[in-house]
Amino acid sequence: MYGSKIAGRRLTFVVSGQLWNGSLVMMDQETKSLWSHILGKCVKGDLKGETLPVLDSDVTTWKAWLHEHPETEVLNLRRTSKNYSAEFYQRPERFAYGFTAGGKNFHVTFANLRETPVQNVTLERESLLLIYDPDSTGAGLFSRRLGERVLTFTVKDGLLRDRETGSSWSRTKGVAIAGLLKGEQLEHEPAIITFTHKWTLFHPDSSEVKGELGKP
Amino acid sequence: MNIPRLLPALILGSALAVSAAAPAEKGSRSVFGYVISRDLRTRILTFRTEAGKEMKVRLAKDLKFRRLDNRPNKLETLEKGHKVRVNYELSDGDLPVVRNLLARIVPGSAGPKARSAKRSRRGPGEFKPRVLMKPRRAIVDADYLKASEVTDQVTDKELVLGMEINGKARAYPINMLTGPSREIVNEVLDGTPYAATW
Repeated sequence: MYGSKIAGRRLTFVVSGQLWNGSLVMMDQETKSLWSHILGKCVKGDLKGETLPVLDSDVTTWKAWLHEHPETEVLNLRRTSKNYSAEFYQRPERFAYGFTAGGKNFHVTFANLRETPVQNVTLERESLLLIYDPDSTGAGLFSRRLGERVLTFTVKDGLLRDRETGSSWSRTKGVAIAGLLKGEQLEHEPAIITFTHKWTLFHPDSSEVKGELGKP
Repeated sequence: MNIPRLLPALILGSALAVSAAAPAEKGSRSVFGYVISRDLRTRILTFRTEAGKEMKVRLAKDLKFRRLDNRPNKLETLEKGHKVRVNYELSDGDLPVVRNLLARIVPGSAGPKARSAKRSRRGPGEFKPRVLMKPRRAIVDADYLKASEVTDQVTDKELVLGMEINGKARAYPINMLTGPSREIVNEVLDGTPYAATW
């Protein structure tokens, strides 16, 4: 999910019909510049060097999305596939959740997220929470910093809680639902889901984050 | 990003590239790899997939083994570095079970370990795209349903790409975003223009 306004100008993106390393190349209609989909970056044309802002988005089941967003609208086009359901991640090591922290690239595989669905990590001095919800297969990246506090998360009695105040939190939205911090919202950080081998090909410097089993 | 069987080159798609996108029929999959080792006693074959991942499988007793050269179709002839196509099934046991193995013999091949590691370090390289087709038409002013109007356009277990801006939410079923005629939906929500794509 990319913001499509660059330098005050709104761009309209199309499938260019070209592939780079087997990965989609987009074209904007306004300048005919070519953009790498996975990098979100213009690689050829007038806008070369420009980067598209990654907007916050989730990939989750319709059921889970609707539950959290009862007023949502939904795209209404004829299906072009039937493959993308909760069973999609049958080989979870092939899929990665990629993001940047402190200007550096990181990724975690869905296999690791499944094993360790709550991960408190500190990367490039940023305190982050990686979270995976097995029911909806949704993954999330949040900042653990809340004002002056840095929280540490753990699962207790099936609920996501922070160790510092014992408040309980929604797994998918990063909102405190009970306790001292009720109503507080963790900042959601942008991340993308991609094939692990594509992510590491396009980001050869990316470090793999690997939560340890049983150590949230 | 779909259609892999018909148009392998186009499947590519999104941030995800294509070939891995289509989950094979339940139970049975096929993958290319390079032999790292094989143990005829335990019948365990270890190989590296083209993506650089190490994988272990168990060769079934009734394994069908075929070499694509003139040497005999005997497992003993399978060596390190040989390229193989492995058809395997997930099993209840510890390892996926292979019933069908096809070996393409590449003399002297060291397998992809060194290659893929090198390639990973190298990055995507210069921008030299492959041109497969003309640019597609832009998707703008797409049609949306309210959640309350949904009947079977999207079902509970289907994956959606969801976004929320200032309390306004939109969902893009991934099954509507695949294929070269889709992939990108141009939109504005609450004054923010965006390209819905994944």
